[in-house]
Amino acid sequence: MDIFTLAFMQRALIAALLAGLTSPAIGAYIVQRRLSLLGDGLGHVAIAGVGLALATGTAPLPMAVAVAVVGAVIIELLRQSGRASADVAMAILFYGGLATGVLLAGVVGQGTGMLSNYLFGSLLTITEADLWLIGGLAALVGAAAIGLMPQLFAVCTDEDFAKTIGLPVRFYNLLIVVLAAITVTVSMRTVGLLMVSALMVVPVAAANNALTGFRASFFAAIGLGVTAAVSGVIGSFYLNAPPGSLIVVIAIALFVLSLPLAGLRQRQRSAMPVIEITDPTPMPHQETDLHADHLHGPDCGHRAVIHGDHTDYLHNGHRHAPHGDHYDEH
Amino acid sequence: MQVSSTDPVIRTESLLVELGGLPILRDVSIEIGRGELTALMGGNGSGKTTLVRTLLGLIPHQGGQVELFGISDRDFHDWQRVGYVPQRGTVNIKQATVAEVVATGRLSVRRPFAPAGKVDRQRVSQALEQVHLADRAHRPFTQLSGGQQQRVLIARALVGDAELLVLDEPFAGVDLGVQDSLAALLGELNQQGTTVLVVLHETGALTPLLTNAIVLREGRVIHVGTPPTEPDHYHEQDERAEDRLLRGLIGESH
Repeated sequence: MDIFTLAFMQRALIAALLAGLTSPAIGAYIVQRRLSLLGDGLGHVAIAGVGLALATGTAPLPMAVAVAVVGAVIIELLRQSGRASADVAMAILFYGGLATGVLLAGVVGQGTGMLSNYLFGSLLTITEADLWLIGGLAALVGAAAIGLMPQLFAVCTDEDFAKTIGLPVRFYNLLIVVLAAITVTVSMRTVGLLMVSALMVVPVAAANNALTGFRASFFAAIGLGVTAAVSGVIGSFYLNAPPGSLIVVIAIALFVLSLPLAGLRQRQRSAMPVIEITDPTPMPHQETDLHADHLHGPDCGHRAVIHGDHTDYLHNGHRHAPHGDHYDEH
Repeated sequence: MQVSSTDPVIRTESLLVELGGLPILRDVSIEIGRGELTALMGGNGSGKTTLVRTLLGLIPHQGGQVELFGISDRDFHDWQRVGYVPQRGTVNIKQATVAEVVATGRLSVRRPFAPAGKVDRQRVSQALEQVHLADRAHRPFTQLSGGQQQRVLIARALVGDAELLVLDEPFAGVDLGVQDSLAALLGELNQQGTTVLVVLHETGALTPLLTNAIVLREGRVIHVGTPPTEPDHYHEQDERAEDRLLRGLIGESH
């Protein structure tokens, strides 16, 4: 039997493709901004939307989109307020969302069985109407994530600088969390709301290990995300497991494979260790002649150590610093 | 918008800035002319960083006036003329090449959704040449040394055709040799016509290049004008930088 001829599998595969495309695209910005768990929180908030839809008998996807976007705006406004209590407020919002969703689904007798399709992903429940909406939302996310790449990158790396060059930083910050909320709901059917954050973060982390540069690892992360999402959906058909779990396991396997690459790149040049001068008494002045064929410097290839206000270079048991026409042994 | 070239690049009058109800800057009136290389100095908590952040529009002010290129900050929109180099430690760059970091400086002139054009790429390589890092364009930013990262941030500020560079403690955490070469770089840029305002703890290697100095203490200007003639001594770390400044700049009468 060819799974590609089954209508529900075709829909599931298209949904997986869209989830795999959009999740790492927005995840790249979220990881750069060190907000890796934001997607998880937004997923919890979206559960309230699903519960609300089940309770009112409306379509779950549009309701989840609406609730997650409202939650995202609240989260960003709390973060921008800069209050210490914002952290706690976000936690209340996240668990409030989760609890409300489960409660509402339970009240109308749908129970957690129905809800688990949304929590862990499902191959069978994707309708054609869902697919159109997912496609539209994915196009929106993709256009913004790629078209506004320089602006969003600038805002994620250095807000102050972005403000001084006249970028509307508050707007872009809001845009990032709203896009993340939309992405969460795009992936809801495939990966499930509890694990959607993994597809946003893990492929990005793997790509960051393997490659240099934001743009290069952005597109590599999308490639890894699509690989994990599509192969997870195909595998879950044969294993009869929820697709979300397999997608996340595959993504993490890809991450583990990327770890040796990170080690390799790290060894090329690791950050210089720092030795602080705590005793103000100067060391005895011990000179070493200039090496005839070698001048120590930032690129000389020897391990360097920051020593107080200067740099020492290490080789053959020596640790010395340039001083006039000779080196001082330190 | 035609601006007369005799207007000061930066002018403040009776500037008042409060943070959390506390006055951080009081009655600050300064003027920085075109082509100057000015040091903004003072001890910890004197308000240096607050002043530059106010000049750059990052912090609102509660009183007085700020003018950039002769235009009140409320009406100022020519942000591509200003290049900001923040303290290296405040920048959160995990995954980017040097060229990608520098290219963000072009966003002051690029429009959203427009891909980078030929001019943008040319300006990025020019700016990297100006800071002598042309060969590092495709290296990861995080693997550069502190001094090289500082140069990248200077290139990022230059790439949008900045006429004014504002640097916040560029010498923090870089060794003396690197301080010398950064100072030489600032001197070169200043020679090419860029107005430079640099926040400093001690004048160090920049001393011979400075045209002007402004000294703050507890949020007030205590000296404007002549820069110190002798560099602070690097190893006298037992003495407070502010005390040394006061002795060097203001003489015995205070």
